[in-house]
This record gives sequence, structure tokens and C-alpha cells, in this order.
Amino acid sequence: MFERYTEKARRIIFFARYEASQFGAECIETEHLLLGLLRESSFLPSINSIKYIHRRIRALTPLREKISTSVDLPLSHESKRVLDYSVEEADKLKHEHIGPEHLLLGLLREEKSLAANLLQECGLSIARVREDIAARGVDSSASPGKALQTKLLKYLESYHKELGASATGPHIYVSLPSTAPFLLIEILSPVARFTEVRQRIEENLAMGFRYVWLFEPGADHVYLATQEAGLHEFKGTVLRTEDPVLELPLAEVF
Amino acid sequence: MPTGTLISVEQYLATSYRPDCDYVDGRIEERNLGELDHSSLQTAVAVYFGSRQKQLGITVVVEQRVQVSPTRFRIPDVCVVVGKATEQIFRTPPFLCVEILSPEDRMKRVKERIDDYMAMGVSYVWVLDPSGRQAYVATPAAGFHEFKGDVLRTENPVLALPLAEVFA
Repeated sequence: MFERYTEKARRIIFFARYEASQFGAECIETEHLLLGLLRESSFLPSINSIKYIHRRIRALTPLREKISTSVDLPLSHESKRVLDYSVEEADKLKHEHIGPEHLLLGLLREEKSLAANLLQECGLSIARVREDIAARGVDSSASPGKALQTKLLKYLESYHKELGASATGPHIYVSLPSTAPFLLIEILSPVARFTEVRQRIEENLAMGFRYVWLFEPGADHVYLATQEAGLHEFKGTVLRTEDPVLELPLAEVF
Repeated sequence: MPTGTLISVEQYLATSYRPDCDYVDGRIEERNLGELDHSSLQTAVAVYFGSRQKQLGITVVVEQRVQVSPTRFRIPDVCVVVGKATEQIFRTPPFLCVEILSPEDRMKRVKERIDDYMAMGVSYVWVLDPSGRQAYVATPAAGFHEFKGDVLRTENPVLALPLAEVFA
């Protein structure tokens, strides 16, 4: 049943089961799926919304004696429909996997459920979530983020044959033939958290990368980070490194 | 709080949100706040400049609605104007806007806010990150960049904020 589920989606189901057992519920309800989703997804607009949902579920759900987590809890009828809708949503988007975003859409489609009501109260709608999924970048092969990454790789490979450039997730790693890491390029997701991005930059510079370039597809913002100068927005037209000189005219990729 | 539907400027201005929200082209955008790190740093910056208002000839306000464009209102965490503030909603560019980062703040949204202040004509934007104890500055001339020194400073008028004083 869960073959198409990503690791995150599987964890959501696991946590939903855990939440149901903590409330002493006889089956896994949509609100338990929502609580599971909150642990794994960054789709909700703010921490205030997350706190609000927790508060409302605690207020609206009867708290019974906890059930051991070893007891197998079935899904409620509503929750089963949520999972069916999630599959439909993934199929509609031509996604092979089922991830947190599809489960979120599934919850919203079960319109009369407590989970859907709470999500709507936080301003989420099916249309808005679908928009967010489309804007998310590298998750989809046709996204602006993926397209930008492909252009960057192509340019780097043709520009400097002896540089090693490889892509993993939203990152492109560029290394010199003789030494270790040199340049890290990251395609920023529209939902990337500022403090997390900054922390990753620091970790990568500490690992030996001399330059970090960050691209925000869609907004066409480019940021540059080095150990000496820290993080700053790049306002020029040609990104450049020293020793070796590597140049990237932004017009080539935007 | 419903944040998904589009509302008019008039509806936004006639509504009180708790906490107050940004208004961006018809959409209400929640601000991430309410945690101790955010509140403490916001208070520290406001108190630092607030206690020097007369001496510096400035007015310091927190969470003031600022109309940055006909269809956008932003609420900087701390806002400084030169001289006395008279507008109930600021439509004249403030001199300095200070934003305190929260863990949930998205890079894209933070940059959009900074760009809005710059486009309005704000002279300085300072972004302070309490968790990393880092500061960022945006000015029309230098753009957005990380600040590596100990004392944030503006020119004309000179305002100085020793970071050690506010990063507890």
C-alpha cells in the first residue's frame, strides 16, 4: 500500500499512528494525520499556524487513556479517503512518489474533516497548495529550479573541462582537479528558511568550499558567500571566482 | 486566522490583527514572531534607540504599519524616523527599518520585505538573526550583505548600535 510513499510520507503515517495512540483513539483520524504532517512538512505558512493547530486539536479531541504503540490502529473512513485522494493528486501532477505535499492535498480534499477545517482556518486552500507545489523548484523535473540547475551544469561542464561538476539534489558541487571542494552552487527552494540556509553556508565554508553561490529561481536573486565577506546579494552581471578564475555570465542561465 | 483569500486595502486597514500582519497585493501575510529570542531582541533594539530619541532627534516605534507601495503594507519590528513622526500609517519612507529573524522566516520572504523597503526609499534596513547572532544590512548603494563588524552604523544622521548590547 505504501510502496510509492517517500520516506517522509511514511514517517507521517508512523507519527499519525503514534498521535492516535497518545490520544487513546480507536482509529487514526484526519487530525492525527495532520499532526504527523506537521512534524515533517514545511508547507504551513508560519509557526503561529502550527501552534494554533496543536492548540485546537487538543481542545477539540477527547483525551482518553493512552493505547500502547504496539496495538495496530486502523485508519478511519475519512483517513482512508485522504490517502486515496493523495494518490489521485500525485497522479494528476504526474509524480511517481507520494510525499507530504500530496497528503496535505488529500487532507484538504476531505472537506468536512477536522483537519481540513483547521488547515482552511490557517489560510490554506487546495488552489494555494497546488500553486506552492508548482513553485517549489527542484522537486519537479519541469520546475524553474531544475531548469536552472541543468543550464548551470551545462555551462560549467563546457566552460572548464577539467573542473569536476556534479549535482546532488538542489546542489552542484564544483571541485578542482588537484584539491578538494571549491565552489558550491545551491538552487534555493522558495520555502528555504533563512537561518537554515545561513547555517548550511557556514558548514560548507568550514568544510573547505571557497565560494558558495545561491540562486533563487523565479526571483532571479543571486547571493554569494565567502569566508571573508560572508553572505551578500550579487548585483553584477558576471559571477567570478579567483584562483582559478571561473566566470559565469548570469545571462547564460537566467 | 484566514490568510488565503484576497482582501482590499480598505478591508485590511479597517481590520486589527493580533499579531498585526503584512498586506501584500491583496493577501494577508502572517509574520513569524512570539518566541522569546525574537521578542527579546526586538525589545533590546527598541529600548536602545528609544532611550536616545531626544539626544539623536529621532522617533522609534515598534510594529508600525508602513505603506511601502499602493498595494503593500509591511510591519517592521522596529522602525526609526528622523524627527517627529506624525503619520498614523507611515507613507513617508522611514530612515531605518529593523527586522528580527525567526526560525520560520523564509529567505524569499525576507528578501521581498527588504526589496519593498528599498523600493519605498528606506535608507537602511538591518536584519538581525538572534540564533546565529548575525546582522545583515541593506542600503540602496551596497545592496543586501552580511555585516561583519561590532557596531552597526548609519550616516546622516549617525546612529550606532553595538551588537553586543542587544545580542544577549
